[in-house]
Amino acid sequence: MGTAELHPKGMLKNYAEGKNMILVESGFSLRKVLLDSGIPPELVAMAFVNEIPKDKDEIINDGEIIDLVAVIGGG
Amino acid sequence: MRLYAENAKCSGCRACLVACSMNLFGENNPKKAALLLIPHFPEPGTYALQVCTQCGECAEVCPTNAIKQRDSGKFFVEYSECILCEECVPVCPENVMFVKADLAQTAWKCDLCGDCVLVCGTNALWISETQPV
Amino acid sequence: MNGYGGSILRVNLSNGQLTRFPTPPELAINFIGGRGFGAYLLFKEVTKFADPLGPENKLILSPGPLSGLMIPGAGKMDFTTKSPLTGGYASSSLGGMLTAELKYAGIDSIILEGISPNPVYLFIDNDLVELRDASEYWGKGTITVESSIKDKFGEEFQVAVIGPGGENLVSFASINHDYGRQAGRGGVGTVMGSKKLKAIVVHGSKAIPVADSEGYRKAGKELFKACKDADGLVPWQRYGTTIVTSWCDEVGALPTRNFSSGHFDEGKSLYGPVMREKIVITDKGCFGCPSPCGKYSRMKKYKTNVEGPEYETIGMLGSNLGISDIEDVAEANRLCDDLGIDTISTGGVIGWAIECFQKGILTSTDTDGLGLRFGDSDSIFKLIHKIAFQEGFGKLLAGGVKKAAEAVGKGSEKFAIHVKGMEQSAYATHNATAMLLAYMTCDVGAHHNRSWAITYDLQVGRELVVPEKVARIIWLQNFRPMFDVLGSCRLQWVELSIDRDLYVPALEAITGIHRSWEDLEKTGDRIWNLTRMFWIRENPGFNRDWDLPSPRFYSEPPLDGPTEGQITKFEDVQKLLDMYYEQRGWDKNGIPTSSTLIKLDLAELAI
Repeated sequence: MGTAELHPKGMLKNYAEGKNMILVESGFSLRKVLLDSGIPPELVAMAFVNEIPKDKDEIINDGEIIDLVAVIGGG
Repeated sequence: MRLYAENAKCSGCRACLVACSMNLFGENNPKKAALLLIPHFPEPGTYALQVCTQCGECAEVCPTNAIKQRDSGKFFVEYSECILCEECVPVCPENVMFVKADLAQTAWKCDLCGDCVLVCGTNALWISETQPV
Repeated sequence: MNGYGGSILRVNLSNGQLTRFPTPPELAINFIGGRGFGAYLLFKEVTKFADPLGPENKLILSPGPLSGLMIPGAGKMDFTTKSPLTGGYASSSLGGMLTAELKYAGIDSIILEGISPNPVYLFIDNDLVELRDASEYWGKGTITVESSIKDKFGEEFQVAVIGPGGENLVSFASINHDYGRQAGRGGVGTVMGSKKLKAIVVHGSKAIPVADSEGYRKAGKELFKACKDADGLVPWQRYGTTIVTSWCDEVGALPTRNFSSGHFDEGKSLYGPVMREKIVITDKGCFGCPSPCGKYSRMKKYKTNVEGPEYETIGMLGSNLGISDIEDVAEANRLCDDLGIDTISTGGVIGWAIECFQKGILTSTDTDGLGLRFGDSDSIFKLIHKIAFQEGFGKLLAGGVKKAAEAVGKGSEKFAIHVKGMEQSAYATHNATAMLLAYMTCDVGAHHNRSWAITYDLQVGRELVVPEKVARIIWLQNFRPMFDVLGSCRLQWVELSIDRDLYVPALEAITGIHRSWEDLEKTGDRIWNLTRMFWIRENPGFNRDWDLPSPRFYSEPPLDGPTEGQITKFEDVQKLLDMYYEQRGWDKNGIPTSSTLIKLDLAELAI
């Protein structure tokens, strides 16, 4: 079992005690890892790895750095 | 040292033009800016930028030596010494020497202040050492 | 006057008289600019009960004090009129370059009144103002006309133009500018068409004065720095409004098949990254914007270009109509833009028509032989054309979904998705009570831009009916539209989360007047009540029923998706409204009380 990094942006940091980076276990779906980390998946607009979108139901791979973009005010 | 522009990154916002006119004339008037933004719409749907490369051709032809060079290598116009002869305009390879007598009683050009770079959100503009051709 | 162009232009299209007068300082102090000028001038100058398509209605165009300056997003202006779609207040925001150019021509507002005997365009070049013959442009699409005018006068001339939609008085006709930006909603293009004004052409080369040059440069640069440092900048630049498409689908907010659901099974092919890969060629921005959200696209399937589609258009002409091919959505977008009709209202009325056809309420005899199906882009392209020219079946739809449903009856009113006659924009509000209230109480009809609150619904609990949600909506309504008053974009605050207090020193350095956000929200509250009084004045018998949502949102839970089986109860809809009126200081019918009007300095205007 390896690790990966979640990088919450904007208001998502409020759900991560203000941290810029959370270390997580790889091998699980992004959705599960978000839930376990206390970040509500429904407040994450999109996730990116190297600027390529990552679906929330995809598995997290070793060493991935996952940027999490908040849905902000919208419209 | 000169200004560079990458067309593919330009979104046509013109913030650079306002920043430039504020620097050169203390005025909010993009018609008095020293770089060119050229939209190509509806086709192909892209923007092009033309900027001063600090080549010095303008300074060479100026009959009153109104276009001077700083120690840093930047060329600028000394407004009080310009006689509006317009000799500098056609020699500029980038078309960024400006003479519009209805707007200003002097020619004007980029003096490499860097404000356009500061306001460009897409990093289409940057200042760097002159690259060899 | 610091921060202002300096003059207001009155254009009487009936007799050709053009008058330019200095912008009154009290107007600038009390109503600031943009939407503020529009609301004041609409109430003061448009005769009670004026026919929206008659000579007494006025179309008021206004930049704001931030427009054209070195401020992020300083590229917005307001169009205000009495709406031919709703019979009430219409205010539509236009991004691009026009607002800046008006300021450089020394103009803070243009008041268009009367009706021209022949098609004309308004030509402004600094101090030169003329009405010129537009017969060579009448009948032509907006893209062609803008291109011809720029070829003729020069690239520096900025153009606002209506299409056949406005000329043919489609109730939701738009005004187009900069090859893909619109003042879209409420029929502002219809009013322009009724006045036989084809285009407004502007060039200006004056400087905009500011009170404190150094203070303004410093404050402006700090605003730009905040935008460039924002950690959401790159995704926003890359995807623009399409960043929310996948998210809306996931949370049940993506309007699907005439808002019967909030989730679209084929939706994945419409998502932002798919769109970017398939069609986007340039990120295109409004004046002064460091976070360009416009997406200029090339549709290989049709060999055409369009600026867009925005999320709203993807929702309304895509999932709402069962269309899953992004190129088809983009082409539908292009047709609407070129013909000059609002993509949101068009998608809303077509969605209703398709559902009517599915239910047998309309048959092919009614639809000129067209079979209407969700997902059939060919029939949708044909309908767009029919609407724009008010041809055959298009005539019914061109009046908007409320009037169409009233004419057809047979229960079709139950799924005409609108508030006050304006088709609801692209957020399905099944069991999302804050956003539902937002649509119910928006000042122009069912539009989302005043108080977008879906994330808030999810954070707090989507089904909750509590005073805090109401307070949030009211705060957003007093605050967000102030950007439309200032003449700049709200999305730097909304999407990049920059600190809004950074605007305060900029505004003060520009205008010389200190205004905190508390001051601005007070003005926002005043304007909100002023425009509410306009609805009341123009519509005798105006009452709380006007604020009700489409019955779909309190009686038809979706059959699939994340909101399957979820719906807000009607008594909760009424409860939301009661709480809203109470917090706003309005009576049980939603009429501002005298004490509220007095408190807001509006007593005299309201009589």
